[in-house]
Formats: sequence, structure tokens, C-alpha cells
Amino acid sequence: MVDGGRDLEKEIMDSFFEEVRRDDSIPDDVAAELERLENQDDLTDSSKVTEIAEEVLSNVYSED
Amino acid sequence: MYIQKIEVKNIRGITYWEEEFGEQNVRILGPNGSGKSSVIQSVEFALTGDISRLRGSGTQDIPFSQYASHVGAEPEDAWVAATFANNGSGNIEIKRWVSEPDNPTIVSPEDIDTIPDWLQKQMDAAKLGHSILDRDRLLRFVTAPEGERGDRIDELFGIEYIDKKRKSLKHAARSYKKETVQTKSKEKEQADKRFFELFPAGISTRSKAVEYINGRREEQGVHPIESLDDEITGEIAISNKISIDALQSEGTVTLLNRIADEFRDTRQQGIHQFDRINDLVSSLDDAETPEKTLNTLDLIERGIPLLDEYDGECPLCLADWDNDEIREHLQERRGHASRLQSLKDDLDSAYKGLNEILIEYTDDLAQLRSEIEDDYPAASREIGTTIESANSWKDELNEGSMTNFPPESDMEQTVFPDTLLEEVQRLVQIADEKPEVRSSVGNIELLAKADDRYDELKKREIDLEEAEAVRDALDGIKQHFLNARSRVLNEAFDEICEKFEEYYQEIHRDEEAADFSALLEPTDTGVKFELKFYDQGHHHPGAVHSEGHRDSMGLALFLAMSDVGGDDIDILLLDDVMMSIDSGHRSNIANLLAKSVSDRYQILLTTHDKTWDRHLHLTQEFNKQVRFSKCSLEGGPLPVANLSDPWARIDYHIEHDDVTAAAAWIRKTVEWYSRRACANLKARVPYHELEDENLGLGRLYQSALQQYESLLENGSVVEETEYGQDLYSDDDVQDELDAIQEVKEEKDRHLKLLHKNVHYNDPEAAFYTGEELKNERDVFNQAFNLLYCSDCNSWVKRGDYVYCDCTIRVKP
Repeated sequence: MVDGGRDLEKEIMDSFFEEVRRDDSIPDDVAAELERLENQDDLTDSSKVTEIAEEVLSNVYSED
Repeated sequence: MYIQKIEVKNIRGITYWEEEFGEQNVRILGPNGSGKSSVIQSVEFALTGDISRLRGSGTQDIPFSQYASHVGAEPEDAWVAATFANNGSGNIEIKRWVSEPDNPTIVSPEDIDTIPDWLQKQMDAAKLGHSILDRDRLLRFVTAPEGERGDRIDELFGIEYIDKKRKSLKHAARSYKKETVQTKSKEKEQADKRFFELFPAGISTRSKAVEYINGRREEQGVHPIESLDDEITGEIAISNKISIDALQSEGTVTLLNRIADEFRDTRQQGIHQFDRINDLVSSLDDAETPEKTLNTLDLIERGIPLLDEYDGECPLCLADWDNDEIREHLQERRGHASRLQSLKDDLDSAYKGLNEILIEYTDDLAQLRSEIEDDYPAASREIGTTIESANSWKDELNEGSMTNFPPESDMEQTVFPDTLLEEVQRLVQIADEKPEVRSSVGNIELLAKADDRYDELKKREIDLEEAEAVRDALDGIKQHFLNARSRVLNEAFDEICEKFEEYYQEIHRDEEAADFSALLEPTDTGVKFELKFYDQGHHHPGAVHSEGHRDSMGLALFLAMSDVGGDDIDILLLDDVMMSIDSGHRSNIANLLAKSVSDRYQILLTTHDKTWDRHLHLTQEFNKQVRFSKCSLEGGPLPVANLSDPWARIDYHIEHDDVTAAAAWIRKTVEWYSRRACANLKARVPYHELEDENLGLGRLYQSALQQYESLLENGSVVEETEYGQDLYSDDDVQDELDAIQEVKEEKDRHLKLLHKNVHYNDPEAAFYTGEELKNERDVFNQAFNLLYCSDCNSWVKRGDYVYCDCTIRVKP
């Protein structure tokens, strides 16, 4: 293996999730669901991204 | 990991070829057209199932199976078998057929049926173009416009999926804002309007609504409310909450009258917007491929300012252009695309306008329906049917792409049918005829309606708030993604740039390189790559640097990128990348490859340049050489280094009944050894005959044998020498002469047969089989064994004696 090679996709995704988790305005469950989508290779499906954001925020609102 | 051995059948000019690389770096040397690149392409095919040179722009989508296979070979009989070795994990041999390029088969070990991770990763990396660099790619890296270079870098780093994710997140945020939030906002606006239309004109704020409501409550003898969030009918005795006919309700009748009054205007506005959309779509239809044109607008906008920099060239494809012509051409295209953009903006606005009309219209109908459904079920059903049809029509309108307009529909009858207008007017008439309700009942009914409509307004406010929260979350997600991508890529580009400068300075150890610097940074459209030129600032490499410099930049950039992004790259394939680089710089490159680069990769590179080959050899890191002399259609490449035993290859073709290839190899081998024998035995062959290969073959062969025969016949047997070789006796000489005589018999017939078999289009040759060709092989092999001693692996030569390295035949 090449020493020092960088897996840029992983770096970008790690940094992205870290930022999302750190953002208080985004519910933690959204970050968790996004990671689930990523693990299922579904982050490229915009309708699924919208679906999870709607679902999580709907739960937040109904709890309120 | 390294490629230890390769075996190639019927790929890109190679009929059959095999070679052991071991763990070594490999120099593949040969003239143009000798088959060097076919070796690189065969390795690429083994790793990826693809040959990148057959893909991409300029190849006109040529069929892969047809051009990957050797001319005339079936894809089912074209394959590469490669043995990969990984320290600590053992070897694995895989085989790919052109007919099934995506299904490599594991040949050995037999007990595994999936490709191990270490090899799969290498294959994935190679598939992304990580490990192969040819001159085309090299120039593409260096001279590509920003946008294209971005794609190349995405490929190199395997981050094309990142771009797909970016687009997905961006689309989610944009479409949610455009569709859901806008709709929710309109719905809330409608609920707001219906709530306030319960009150007399002039009451348009919530505090005034509270005042008015409290006035009515006072008439009912109950306490005022503090805000609309309190129960508006609170404290009013239940017995007083009487129900009245829906069309006696002031609020419902106001809504009904508004729908009736506005029906024709709304219909007219809807039809107007629909006609506008139709007209705009027709205008777009007149333009050829409007979406493509719009997609290029940004590119053209960015290209025009670059024209000064790219003097006489298209900044995108680098084709030659007259400066005025290209400027005029691009301005014309920009004008055309701008007009289309303006049309598209108008179209978006017309769609938005029509959607708003339809939402407003159907939302009012839905409210009316809910308020009258208990008392007027038939009218309610009629309204419900219209709402359903109108929503279907709206969905159809909004489906598809910009020019995929739904078929001509009767909007008037589907969305605004006269039957509905008649039903609404009938309801208005009924309402007019209803007696007025008592004031106290009217009061209670209005308060109850206000309660209901305020609840609906609150619900829609919450829906909108929730939608805006989703929109904000999606916006935040998108922005975090863009930030992360930008940060990581910027860091990576800084690293690439640093390594690129180091590599470039290694290659150019001169004054210019001493303070060399480069810019490599992401832009909105791709990646900017500029280099310092003396002290004249940074410029695009195509603008100020020579072709040789661009070649060396390409190599330096490729190596830098492989270092930074190439976690899984272990094999580098460099195909003729040094073409324009002078000898001094090549020597530097040889040292660079031998020192730092070969520590990390197994390198396979091709060249036609013997000096460059020697440079590499002298580094002692490129000890393996594969050398081709030339390539023929029938026999494929002719490897120079392996001709000590060309007969194995001939046997292989005979065993596979490939008569044409076998015959071609026999002919080439005969030609080769006859030339060498003539030179070693100092045979006389007129120069002009050597020039003509077909005519000269027989004469070369004959000259070699005749010279050897003549030397033996006329020479004298040596009894004693100071050398240590064995000595031929008279009997030995006679045996040798007999053997020569035997192969000379029917020489012409053998050569003719051989010649016919090479040309597969000769009808007579079609009757020969591999088995029959064995006779020819034996005759020519016998001759070879006379001229070349297989005991000591040396040629028979003429000097003070006629000798090989182990035996002296005679003294001439």
C-alpha cells in the first residue's frame, strides 16, 4: 500500500457529519438518520434526504 | 501488491504473449507500432475490464469488444490472465475475457471464489484511472479547462460519489424550498384570508379581530377573551351553541359569494397563464435542444474572458481558431442562450403564477366543501370531484421536464367546469332565499366559525413553521457538506501542489525550477491550475510552457495526485509519457522514478527511446526489460528478448490450431535467425535483397545455410587449439553437412507453404491444420539448431574458426 495516501471521500464525509452533529439547529436524530442513509449508499437520493428531515422534524414538532 | 505474471491472448495486436515480471519494475522497449501499448492496455484490462483509450471523446463510441480483441479474433477467444502477488497474502491468478469484461474469473487458487480485498481495492482504484497515465491523459491533466480538470481530479481521488451526494443535498434543499415551503406558505395565506373575511372590512389584524369578537361575546353576556388562542366560544352555554343551516352562516355565505363572484375571473386568469405557458413552451420547442444550450451558457460566459489568454485557441478543446471568429461565434451562442434563459425565467414565473391560482382556487373550494357537506351533500360531492380533477391536472402540469409539457387538455372543463359554476350559483340562490337568523344565533354561529377557521389557520401556521424548519435543516446540511468538501479538497490540493512542486523541481534541476511555484485550487466550476513563469506571474500551462514542459508537468502532477489520493494504488502504468522531454530531463526523471517513486509502486512503462531505456536501466531499479522489434497483423508483437526459444510460442499456436499465427511466427523466426546467422557467419547477402523482406527471406535463409555448408566443406578439422572448447571430428562435420543437406531439400516448397499459411485469405491455406504445419516447423527448427547451439546458447560464428561458445567446428 502507498504510505500516506488519503481517502478523501471518507475525510469529507467524516468532516461533514462532525459539522452536522455540532450544529445545534439541526436535531441529533437528523444527523443519525443521515449517517444511516450514507451507510446504505442512499445519500445520493435527494427524496430520501428530504424524507428523513421531514420525519425527524415532524416528530420534534409533535413532541412540542 | 504487484503483478507477477501476465498472459495475453488476442488483445489489441497481441495474438499470444506471456511474461514474468516478478516483483520488478518493467521497461517495455520497442519502436512505434511494435505492441508496447498493447501490453499496458492488457494490464489495464486485467485490472479493470476496460481499456480507457477506447473510451471517451474522440472514440465515437467504438464497440469495445470489437476493438479490444485482436483483428479477426472472437471476443470469446480474447483474454488476459494475470497473476497478482501480495506480500503475506499469496498469489492469485485472474482471467478476463473481452466477451465478459466485468466478470473476472479466479484461475488459482481454486479454493476461493471471490477476489480478495487487497486486489479488489487495486482494481477499483485502477478503474477510476488512478494508476494508468498515457500521453493523452497527461496532456488532459495539464491543459484541461478548469471544469474538466475538476472531473479528472474527482476520478483520480475516487470522489465522484461526493459530487453525486453534493447534488442530492443541494437538490433536496432547493426543491423543498421551491415546492413544499411555497405551497405551505400559500395555504397559510389562504387560511388567513378566510379567517379575516369573517369580519367586517377593515378588520385585518388579530388584535382588531379580538376586539370585534369581544363585542359579539359581550352581546352574548360572556367575558372577553384575551387573545385568539383562547376559546372564542368559551363560556357560551352549550344549549345556545345551536346549529344552523350552512347557508345561513355569514362566514360560509361570504366565502360562497366570493367563490361565485371570482369564478370567471379566476378561470380567465388560469387560462391566461396556461396559454402563456403554452406559448413559451412553443418558443422553447423552436430552439434545438434548449436544455443543452442553457447548460452551456455558464461555460460560454466563463469562456469569453479567457479568449485573450488563449490566443488563437478554443479555451475548452484547444482547437485552433481565428480570434475574431471564435469571439463572434461565442457571442452569438451567448446571445442565443441568454434569450433562452430569459424564456425559461418567464416560463418558471408562469408556472408559479398558475400554481398559485390553482392552490388558491382549490383551497377555497375545499373549505366551502367542508362547511356545507353535512347540509348539502350532493353539492359537496360535485365540489369534491372538481377539486380532485383540478389537482390531477395540476400534477400533470408540473410533471416532466421544461419542454415535456402535458398534452393539450381542456383546462376549462377539467378545472373550472361550468357545472361547478352552476352548482355554486345555485347555492348562492339558496343562501339568498334563506331567512336571516336571529342576531344571537348569528353571533354564536360567527364565533363558532371564527373558532374553526382560527384553528385551521393555526394548524397551517404550524405546518409552515415545520416546513421552514425542514428547509433550514436541509439548507444547513447542504452548507455543511459544501464546507466539508471545500475544506478537505483545499487541504488536499495544497498537499498535491507541494508534492507537484517537489517532483517538478526534481525533474527540472535548473534555475527556472529553483523558485518554481504552482497554483492548484478549487473554483466554482472545477479546478484552477496555473504555474509561475519566470517572474511574470502565474499562467495556464498551455499559454506559456513548451510541450516538453507540459509533459513533465503532467507526470509530476500525476505522481503528486497518486501520492495524495492513491491509498490503493500499487501499480503505475506509464505509456510513452516522455515523448517530448529532452534527454537531460529524462535522466532526471529516471532517477526520480528509481528513487522515491519505485519504493511505492511497481512501475510498468513503455518507450521507444533506447537512451531513456538505458537511463532507466542504469538506475538498477528497472532491471526487467521487455523488448519488441516490431508487430505484425498475423503474429502480433515480436519480443526480442525471448527469441532464444520462439518455438514454444509457435507450438502454442499450433496446439490451438491457429495456423496463421503459427506460420507468421515461423516466418519471422526464420527471418530473424537467418539474419543473425548471415551476420555471424559473414555470409554475403546483397543489400537490396535485405531491404525487401518477403523476397529476401528465402535468400537470407539460403545464404545462411549455404555459407555454413561452404565453411564446413572447405574448412579443415582442428586437432588442437589453445581454447578450451570441444572440437568437431570429421564424422561430426559430415553429420552436420548431412543435416544441412536435409533441411535444404525442398527449401522452396517449405518457404512457399509457410508464406501461404501466413496469409489466411489464401483459399488453399484454409485447408492446412496446425498438425500439418508441424512438418514446416520441424524443418525450420532443425535449421535453427544448426545455426544456433542450444548446448551453450550461442550462435555459430565465423572468426579464426567456425565455432560456437562450446565447440569449434572447423578452421576456415
